Amino acid sequence: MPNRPPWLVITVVSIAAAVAVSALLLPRGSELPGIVRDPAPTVLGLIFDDVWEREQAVPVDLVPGPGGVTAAYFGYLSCPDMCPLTMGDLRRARQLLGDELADRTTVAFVTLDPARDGPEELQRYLGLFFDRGVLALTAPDETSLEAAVERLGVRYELQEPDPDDGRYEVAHSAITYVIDDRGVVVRELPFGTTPEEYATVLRSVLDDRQG
Amino acid sequence: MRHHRPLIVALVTLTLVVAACGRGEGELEVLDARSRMSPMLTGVGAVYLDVGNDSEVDDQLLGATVDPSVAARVELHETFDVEAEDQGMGEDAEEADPMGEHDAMDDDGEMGHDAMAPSPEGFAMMGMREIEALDIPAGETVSLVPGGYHLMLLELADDLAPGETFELTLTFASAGEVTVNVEVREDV
Repeated sequence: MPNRPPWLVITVVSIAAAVAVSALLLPRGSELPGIVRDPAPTVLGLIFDDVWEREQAVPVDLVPGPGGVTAAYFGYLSCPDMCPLTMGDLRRARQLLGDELADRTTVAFVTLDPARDGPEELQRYLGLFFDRGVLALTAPDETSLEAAVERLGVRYELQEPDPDDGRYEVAHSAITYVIDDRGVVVRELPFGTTPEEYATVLRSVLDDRQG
Repeated sequence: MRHHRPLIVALVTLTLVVAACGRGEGELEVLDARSRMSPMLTGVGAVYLDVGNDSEVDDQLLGATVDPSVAARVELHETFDVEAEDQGMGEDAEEADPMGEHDAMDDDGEMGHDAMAPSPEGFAMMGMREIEALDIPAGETVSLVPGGYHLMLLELADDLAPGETFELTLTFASAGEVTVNVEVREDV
């Protein structure tokens, strides 16, 4: 196989960088924040166990009901920084939407740390942020989790435990996936998105899919 | 006794004013200490704040404590890009700016969307680790913000609910101990 000429590599890298940068800079204007992938992934066929206010886990997917929207986030409960902040921002975003739109919005939290995050923990944790419209999700098995992670581009890695107390952190990408009622991930919002911006994106999806 | 009252009031007022001025010019100032609502069951919370160093001496934040009724211990942590580290882009944990958070700040000091730019592999994978000390250079303000540095509360005694406040005592290498009130907020 012949070596690629350096100019080609440079050109390809430059174009990729320009695309990546423009995808990030566009939201600064009147456009919506976050990124849209092409092709947009779907969540069809990805199954999780929902433990929210249930005696027994119920298999669910991330597709909202007709005319609804789901904001899905993958994290872990022992996370002090990005996970609770994102949950708090989504809680605030839903308040900003008002009752009618908030009722059509579901927040889904998928744990990347099922060894520590059991049904009771998930339930109590999410209960501090939400009183309804929430899915507390754990993958039924490792294969299901890996399928979801791969499809959506979630990235995570269990870190080495602390030698003193055995505590470990989970390094992870902190992205909120906005999913419409066709099961399409219409937008991905990184950590740092404001409650107002979450609300704007959720409202736009709800408006789009109405009727 | 009644006629002494204005004097007592004046003395009390003076004492308060003097106390309030205790940390004036040329010293460290800790502003906007805040925490985010966190459930007790996972045992962890985070405190964010700004430290302004008006003195001419470089200082370091070494750690902090809270009353056991809030949490058992407090650690100084940073959130960092795991892969930037693997590529040797940040060899010194204390000097490195692996998230590029200084670039990522908006004018108002908040995190920007560009903080976690998607790399060819996808969005950055963020980890968290304890650091020994955080430099607070003379004449500068260092902000502990979500996605950057934070003080991690471990073994929370109770939920941190919005509206609550608690005392946090910070230890600086040069300025010594500074106690501030932390406000638990819905948004930080």
